[in-house]
Amino acid sequence: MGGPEFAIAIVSILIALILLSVPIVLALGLCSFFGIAYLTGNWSIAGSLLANTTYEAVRDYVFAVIPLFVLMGEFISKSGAAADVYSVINKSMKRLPGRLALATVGGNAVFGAVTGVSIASAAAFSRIAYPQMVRHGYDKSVALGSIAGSASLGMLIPPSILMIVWGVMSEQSIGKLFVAGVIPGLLLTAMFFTFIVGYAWLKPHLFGIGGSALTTIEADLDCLATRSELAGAFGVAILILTVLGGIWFGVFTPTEAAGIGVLLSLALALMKGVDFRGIREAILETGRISAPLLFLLITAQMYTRLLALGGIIDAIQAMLLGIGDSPVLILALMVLVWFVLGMFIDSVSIILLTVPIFAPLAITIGYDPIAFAIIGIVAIEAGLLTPPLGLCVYTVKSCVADPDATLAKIFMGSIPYWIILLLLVAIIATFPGLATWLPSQI
Amino acid sequence: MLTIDRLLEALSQMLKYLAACLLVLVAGLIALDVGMRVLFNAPILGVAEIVANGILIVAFLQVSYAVRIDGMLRSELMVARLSGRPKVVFECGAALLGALLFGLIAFASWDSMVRAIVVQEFEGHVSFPIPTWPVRVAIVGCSVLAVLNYLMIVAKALLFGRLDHVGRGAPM
Repeated sequence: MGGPEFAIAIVSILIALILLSVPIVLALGLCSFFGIAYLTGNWSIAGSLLANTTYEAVRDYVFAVIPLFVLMGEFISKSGAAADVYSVINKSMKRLPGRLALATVGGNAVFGAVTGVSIASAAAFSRIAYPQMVRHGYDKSVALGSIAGSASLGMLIPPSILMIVWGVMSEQSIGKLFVAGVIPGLLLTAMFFTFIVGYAWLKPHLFGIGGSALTTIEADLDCLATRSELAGAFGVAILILTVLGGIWFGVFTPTEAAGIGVLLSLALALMKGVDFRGIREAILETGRISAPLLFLLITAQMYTRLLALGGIIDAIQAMLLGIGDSPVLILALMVLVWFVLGMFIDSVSIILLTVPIFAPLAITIGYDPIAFAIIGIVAIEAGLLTPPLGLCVYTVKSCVADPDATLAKIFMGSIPYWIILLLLVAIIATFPGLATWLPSQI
Repeated sequence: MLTIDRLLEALSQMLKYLAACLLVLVAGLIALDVGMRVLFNAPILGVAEIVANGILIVAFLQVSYAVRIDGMLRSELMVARLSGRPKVVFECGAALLGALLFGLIAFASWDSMVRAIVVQEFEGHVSFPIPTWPVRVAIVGCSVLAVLNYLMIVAKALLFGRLDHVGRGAPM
């Protein structure tokens, strides 16, 4: 049977396969299958577990939330509503230093409330905000950093694919996790705002203030928001109120809210003049994004069975607890693991790999499961901004045509943002009520 | 062989569109169900079961396409640093692992599929029984297709040194 040696072997093989660029779904599926066959000494048990897991793992009403929230975000992206939100926020912030960077953060916060994937925000704002910031004399590293950094708001502010996956893996209410992300999301927005205003005040030249661009900036930006922009922003506001409000007040389950959200976002896209081709692209893109996620969930459940069967969870918990029994130390170790993994692989895979082990451990050492989920999501997002493979940074790079926008510049500009994210981790760990208070009210 | 490749491409594209239609249907059904419940207090029978089965079918219908565009999530750490022959060997190794996993899924699920068809297996509430064969056929059929696509990747890489699929899928 299992034991510490088996745990170390399985985890080492998994990590080796993943670092060797084997798709994570294959690494998880094959390790679990052969691991279970080894433990039970019986191929047919492993085979029937594989067949059962494939058939049962995602065959549930709740899993429809994944493609549906992705589809909702795609419709909104196609409608150009992100640009409207950005523009309206920007025009409402006269005289604030660094207002274009602030509008990027604000736009991401609002956009995050209608999309479930960070990368969608990073892609949208790379195209909308970056050209404008460059035109107004922003330092390129500062501009790119603000886009990559504030994209992390998308995963913290509900709806969020990460929260859905976390909820599934740790058997928690997805609705509660969504609500738990609201206050930390707003707090993070405020922290990003404070940083940008302070930075722009200390080093105005990096934000295009004081240069020749100054004379044009006010004239260019201060014209009133157009009717179409206001309509787009209003549509997004209605969507947020319906989807999140519906979940909050218990009118809809998250799946139902996602279904209604798809319908409303389709209406908004059509109103904003998206043609049949755009709608078709949005639907196809949704399939492209969500099918691999569903497969990951299938193999991850197989992996969870292996973890349980092989006593791997107990073995790793014993190892971590052997290092020290201080909850703060253990939490710091877990945050470190997430942060490092975030440098190499995507956030959903990290959750699937670590949450089955970490979530029970967190409860053992006395952390609230909901606060712990938010801590985990923020820590993983921080990793997505760091070299060598931070995914948010790569997305921004692939969406910006400027050859001057190098990976090094984006990584440099993102540093303050992941520091702020880690700061938020510390704040929530100290005051878990920030995450748990709102869900306790519903 | 390239004819087979074109055939697989066409089939994957067709299934991708089928999955997209099914996804829209699922979204519409959920919205209709909520609408009927909120407005008329009359939820539609069986929506939860149809949605649950529909989602699994959507996932499997997409798998061939995901394989062909390298859409399965992975770390770029190694592949980004390789080129030429080592890269071909690497990608072949990964594709063979893919063929192995989906081959295992197809093999392990075969008996349940045959049983579901032969005994006309149904499940769900007695007021709305759903046949299980569509899901089971989708699992086996699409897994076999995934295996063929993975093997095609290996064949193209070894015979022509071509890695068409790499980099076609953008990161998520």
